[in-house]
Amino acid sequence: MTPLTVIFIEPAGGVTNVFENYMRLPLLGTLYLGTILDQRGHRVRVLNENILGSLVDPFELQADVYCLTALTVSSSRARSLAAQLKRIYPASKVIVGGIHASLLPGEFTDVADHVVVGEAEGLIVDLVEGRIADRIVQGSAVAELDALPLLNYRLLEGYRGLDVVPIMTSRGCPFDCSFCTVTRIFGRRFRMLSVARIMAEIENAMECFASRSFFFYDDNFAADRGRVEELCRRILEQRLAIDWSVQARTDLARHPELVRTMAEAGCRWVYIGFESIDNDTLEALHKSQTRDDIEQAIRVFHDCGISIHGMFMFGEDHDKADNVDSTVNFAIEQGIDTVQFMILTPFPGTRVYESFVAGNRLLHTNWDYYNGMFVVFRPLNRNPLRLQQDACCAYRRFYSLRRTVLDGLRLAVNVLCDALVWNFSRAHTYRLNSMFIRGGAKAIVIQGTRVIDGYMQFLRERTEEADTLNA
Amino acid sequence: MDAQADAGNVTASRLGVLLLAIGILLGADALLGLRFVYRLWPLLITVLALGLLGIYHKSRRRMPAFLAAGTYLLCFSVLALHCSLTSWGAMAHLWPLFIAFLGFVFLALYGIHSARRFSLLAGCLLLSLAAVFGILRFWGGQHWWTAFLLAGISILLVEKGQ
Repeated sequence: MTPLTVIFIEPAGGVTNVFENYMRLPLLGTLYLGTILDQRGHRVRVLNENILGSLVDPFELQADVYCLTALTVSSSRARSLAAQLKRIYPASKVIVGGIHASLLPGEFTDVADHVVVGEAEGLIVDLVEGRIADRIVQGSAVAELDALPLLNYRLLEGYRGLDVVPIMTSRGCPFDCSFCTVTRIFGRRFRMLSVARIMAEIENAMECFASRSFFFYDDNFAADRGRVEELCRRILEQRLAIDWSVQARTDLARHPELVRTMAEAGCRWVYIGFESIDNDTLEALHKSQTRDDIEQAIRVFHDCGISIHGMFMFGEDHDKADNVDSTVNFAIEQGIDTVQFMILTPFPGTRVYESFVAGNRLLHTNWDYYNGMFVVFRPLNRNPLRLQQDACCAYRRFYSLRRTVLDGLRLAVNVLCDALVWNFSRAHTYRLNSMFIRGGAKAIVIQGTRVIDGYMQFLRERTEEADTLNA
Repeated sequence: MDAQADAGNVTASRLGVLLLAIGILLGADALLGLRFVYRLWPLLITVLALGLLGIYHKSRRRMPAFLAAGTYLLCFSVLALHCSLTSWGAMAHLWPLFIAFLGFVFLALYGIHSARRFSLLAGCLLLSLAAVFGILRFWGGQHWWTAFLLAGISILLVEKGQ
């Protein structure tokens, strides 16, 4: 087969998600597919608009095949790019995949030659080489993740600029939260790389990057505790001087020994979806955790010296009127290092989305705004504008510069006193970096407030319209 | 939370004992008319610096800030102790050492924390700069070219080493 030129494009989100500036990381789906095609002998480029820092110009991208990833928030850009590429290069093939394309494939059938639903590793070669003619192509879950090739990060343009290296060691999640798209794409069966393979992935990445910081993309890294334990043991045995962050659930903290081993092996941050501190809301979201679990998790992770990035969600039907305030108070009192206050977003394909559509509660389906920063539905007991304003205030309160400075001073005093009397028993709990990040996050909050201001006007108009109709 | 509270209590009680010991020593010094103990205050900074290095060593995160602060304070405390026991007038000649200490900090970061080229270069440059100022200070600028030559050679050697 004559080698083809294949360009993968990961488009930027429609409206700035301020957290994209905080941590620029590529999705790994395109890199896996690119690596498979590269090994097959095709000429592959992977472009990520967030990492490049600018939008790609379709006129400068001549290729035989274009593969675009569409998340919900980047679906408009993906659609527009696909249409432009098809118009400029009619003889070339345009393929669209990704979460949004998998959930709503019909949105792309008029601009793409193929739309892939689900995982594409098993069919990408046939698709690119023209042995599949279907417009909508059903992918199948990769049964054996170890069979995938080691990632070729060099295919990603601008990869040298990555400070943190992403690695994905599992797919699927045994839980079934009502707002989450993970199980819709990867299923509930937890599939994972073997420990030997994860070590090979780490070594492969270390050959490619100067950075020794890794981020495990897994939606629930510690779903298999035995594997995590074995991985930590191998990292410690091989004396790999790496630090890493994971996404985990609060139930991991029921095993403090394992958390301690993770910390010793280099785990520095956990990203946890706390979602709510209200047990009724947690139950409604099928989160399988309680407020007590959250408090215990914070205590255990902090005692082991692991920083916590807590993610909370506002707008669920069971939320009480003072939910936002009490959540911010909770986050401050518990000493969570950094937080993200998201607004419940009904992503297509989720149970939340279906119930909102059935109840005619969606304010709009402009996917550009479906990134967790904007109120895109009518909350049950609240005014959408009020909810949006409260979320902004929550950020401002948590990331208050005064609070960060005071916490920094307190930390400095503790460190100096401990050093003076040689008390090293809490040396591993000092988390200087979270202070710096919180200081920097203040700038993100200011930027985010500007982005949201325009949307507030839209919500104000919608609220006035609704009031007029009611009157 | 309990473990951290316990650690706080230990620090508080040890700090109390330390302050008491210092108070007794100072009191004895005044009573006996020795006028010597107060000159040893830089030792407190030495203890603090070693403590910071201890925190760096014990902490799983190995935060470079602790290594940098500990190294700098350790160097400074040795200099301060020397001046305190002899004469602070020596500082007129020794001030380039403050730049040299910063150079040591970067070299410590390079050697112990992470072998980043920037740390090595910064360390060598600062040490060279300190040498230049030191030589100028001692020899009244007559051999300034020697100093610049030394600095140039050190940079070339570092570059070649890369």
